Amino acid sequence: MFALQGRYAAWLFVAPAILLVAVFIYLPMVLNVGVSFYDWSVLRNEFTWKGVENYLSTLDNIDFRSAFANTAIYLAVLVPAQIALPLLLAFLMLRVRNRLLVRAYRAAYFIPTIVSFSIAGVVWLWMFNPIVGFLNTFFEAIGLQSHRWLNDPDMALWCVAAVAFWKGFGLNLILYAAALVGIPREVVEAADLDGAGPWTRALRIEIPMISPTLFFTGVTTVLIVMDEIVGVVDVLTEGGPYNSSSNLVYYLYDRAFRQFNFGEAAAVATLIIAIVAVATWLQFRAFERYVHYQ
Amino acid sequence: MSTTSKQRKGAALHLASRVAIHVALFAAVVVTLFPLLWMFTTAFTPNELTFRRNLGLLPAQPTIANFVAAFQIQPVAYWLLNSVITSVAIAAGKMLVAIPAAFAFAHFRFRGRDWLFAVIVGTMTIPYVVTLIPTYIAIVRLDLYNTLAGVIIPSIAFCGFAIFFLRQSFKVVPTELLEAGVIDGAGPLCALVSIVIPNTLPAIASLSVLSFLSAWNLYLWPHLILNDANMKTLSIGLKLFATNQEQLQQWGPLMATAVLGLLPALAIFAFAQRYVMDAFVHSGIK
Amino acid sequence: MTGMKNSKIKIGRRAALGMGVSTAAVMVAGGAARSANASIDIVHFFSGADHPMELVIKAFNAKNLGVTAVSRQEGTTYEAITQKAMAGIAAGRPPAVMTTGWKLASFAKHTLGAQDLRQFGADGGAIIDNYKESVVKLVTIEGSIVGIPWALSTPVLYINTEHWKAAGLDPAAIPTTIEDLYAKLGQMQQKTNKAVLAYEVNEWEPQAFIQNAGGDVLDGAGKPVMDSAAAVYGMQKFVEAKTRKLWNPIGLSEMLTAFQAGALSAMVTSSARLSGVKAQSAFEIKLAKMPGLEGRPRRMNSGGNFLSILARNKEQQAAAVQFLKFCATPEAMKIWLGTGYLNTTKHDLPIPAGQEAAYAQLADGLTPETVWPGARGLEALKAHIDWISRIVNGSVSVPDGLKGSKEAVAKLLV
Repeated sequence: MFALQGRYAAWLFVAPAILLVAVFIYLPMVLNVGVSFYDWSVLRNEFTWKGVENYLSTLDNIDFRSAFANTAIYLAVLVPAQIALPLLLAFLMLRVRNRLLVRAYRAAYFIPTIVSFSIAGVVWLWMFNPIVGFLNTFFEAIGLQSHRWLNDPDMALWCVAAVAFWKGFGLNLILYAAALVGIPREVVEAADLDGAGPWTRALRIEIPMISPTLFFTGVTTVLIVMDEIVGVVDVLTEGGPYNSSSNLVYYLYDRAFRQFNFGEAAAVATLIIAIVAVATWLQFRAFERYVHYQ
Repeated sequence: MSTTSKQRKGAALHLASRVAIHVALFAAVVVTLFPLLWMFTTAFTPNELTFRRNLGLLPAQPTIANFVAAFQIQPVAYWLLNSVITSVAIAAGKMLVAIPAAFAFAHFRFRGRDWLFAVIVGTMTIPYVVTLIPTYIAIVRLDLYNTLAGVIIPSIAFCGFAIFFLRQSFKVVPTELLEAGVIDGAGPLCALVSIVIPNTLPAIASLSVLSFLSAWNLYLWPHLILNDANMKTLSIGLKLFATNQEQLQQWGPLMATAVLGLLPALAIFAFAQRYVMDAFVHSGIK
Repeated sequence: MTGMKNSKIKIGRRAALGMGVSTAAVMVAGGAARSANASIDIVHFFSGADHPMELVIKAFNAKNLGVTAVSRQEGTTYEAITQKAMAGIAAGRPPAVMTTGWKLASFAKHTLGAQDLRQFGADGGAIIDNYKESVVKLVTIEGSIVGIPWALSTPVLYINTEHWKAAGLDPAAIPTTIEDLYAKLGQMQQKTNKAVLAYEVNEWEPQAFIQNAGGDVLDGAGKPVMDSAAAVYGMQKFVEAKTRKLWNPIGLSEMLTAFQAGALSAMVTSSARLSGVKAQSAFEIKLAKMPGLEGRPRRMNSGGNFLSILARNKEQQAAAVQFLKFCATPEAMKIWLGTGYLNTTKHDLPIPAGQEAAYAQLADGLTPETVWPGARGLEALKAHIDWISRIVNGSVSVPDGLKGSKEAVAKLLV
């Protein structure tokens, strides 16, 4: 280590990053809490003190409540799905010997993650159109009932979740595939010699060995589901019908940048910080016990 | 593909399970890629036929008219240019900030190192929307509203993952190599440029690609900051195009624009696929 | 004469594009000093280089009045462009001129700071004198005239004549009551087995039903009254299309796509969409008056937008007045009627082909669109639309939904 020579240089090296992070992430976070106690009039450019009123009116708003409930559903459905299904596919890919094919599979699954939200939105709006879209045309052709998809308040949320899953699962998949490939061969071979079947091997050896990756993706997936669903919601439903597919982050966006009620939106942001902090803390607690570090 | 199985009994069973695996994997590929293939064929189908399509995947009368029309209907050329500028600037900016920081965190010992590292990596658990309102107000006050700079600068700050990822990769560079360099009289910056970077190029390349792709697909922030039709990036311009209810529903040109938006990302991914995947294998995200 | 104008317009298009770029460049550079030639932003949501909005702007620029109008399409709905304008105001850069929905007139005055045209002296008054008194009322908010009545439309029935013929119905004899329409569409559905009807799920079309039933959304004093017995009756007629399985509620964009694809027999939408829908359809379209309710007098509503001046500094305001002055001329109105919006001026201009039904509806007399008063008007409007959507999707009954809307709206309009 350059323990001595580098002290001064090290500070210079980290300074830009620390500065950027402080100015554009931590400072706004703190300021956000401040803004949440004010009402900002865009037209007059004035801040008026409102105390906790923004929080009270937020908690009282039925749209906020449905956004809150929807966020819980999105998290409960998408976080497990974004972990379990890619993990299953990664295990299947591990059994494929042909390296070219492995690469092709991996690439195919990864492609939706590099598609921007608006492109995904255009494509899926076209698929979902109830009268001329592909899905209903296909459903009718094979004798199934057609649906209203995004227009059906009971379905909109699930359509959004499906598209969000489609767009997101590839990232976790390559992380799992990489982690599984990275398990030392000796460990797996030892298990094979002990006569462990594929199930036992997966549950007893492979999953514990990649548990750090699972933990990492667990934390990032919560964030992805919170943050990135906004893009999907915005291009597909704009939160509708009547907020049935909205989530907390979209609600914030709506309050801040469609109603221009910055104070209330900042209050929502503060609540989101609290929720994510609790979720992350719970995950750290849960994984602390099970994560296996080499 | 080999059908012989040396170590296991029941060759037939084994074959069946392998076929099943491929069927499952292939089915997943079809479901994953179908919507995009559908987009491609619509983009090449004459606009007046887009509604009268069957379920086939090949356009009946392939045409590039939709691409020509797209450029006429909306300033797609500007959108492409803005997207390129924004994405390159964000990716480059992130690298400029993250490489020295990751180097310091990987190979230096200094007071507050672990604490500062935690501060940076901690940003990975912060949803960026909670910074949205104050940052928006700041950008507006700094007169950066409706400028690409207003999109680029705050986006560079989200470099927590880059630093985390690069630190892992830089650690692989042996300390002895660096010490040898120092004995030869190389300063820390020189060691970074002449030893660390050349030895970790694949990781840096793949991270640049990932940063580029995520910047290419930025949605919410540019949507808020860029106002003029000519100032938009492709990702948000497309939304304007897609929800244009007042007059036209031109799905052909719309799909053509979507294809134009996807192609650069696809090309870069195809080009860098190996690096990206290998980098993940070696990143040791553990 | 026309040929000359066309060639001018074509040159103008490139020039305007170039100007757009240069304005953008100026903005990137951080707002360099403006030249003596004032440049004003016209914010609207009409897209396409050939759209009459672009043509009006180009015709204005071709006059070389020392003012350059720059077309800026922002978003695609009234709500979206209003929100974008608010962002511009927050940034200290309000658009000089903006198209705003009638329904947001009060909001434009109170929250966007739309200027009273009469403060610009004789020029302002002269501009307003070009318009019919009935429409000037629509832009008169608490005594001030917040813009020029630019675009007036009304909901009409669009018919795919091929479907009607295929079902053995006469496209010339379109039902004049909702009851008759539903019966005919029922017959048609049995024969063609296609989607036969779509309404827009917003505040506008239900308002037509509520008014045709004898009710109102907001009363003269701006208080919500959408839960009256008459309003409930109208709303029930609206959702009856769904309960009779004639209408499977879908989004506006999906509705237009389906209609243009020839997959929908009838839809109710703004008369102003005719030119766009026609351009994308391969069959003959017929417009008819919006059917009324049996035994009740028709009281159809209107919609559309006005051009207001949001600029704060004198130079921009003067330039904006120049632009509005041009918009009020017969020349500009003639170009503008190409959209399908109705003639709001006193100028005698020919009725565009296909728009006879909309003009007939106009001649019957149109009520203004509901103006959502106060600084929180936009929120009240959204709350109302959400309740309409709940009713249409069957998650509440019509009376409960309208009561819910009344309560939500009353809270926001205090």
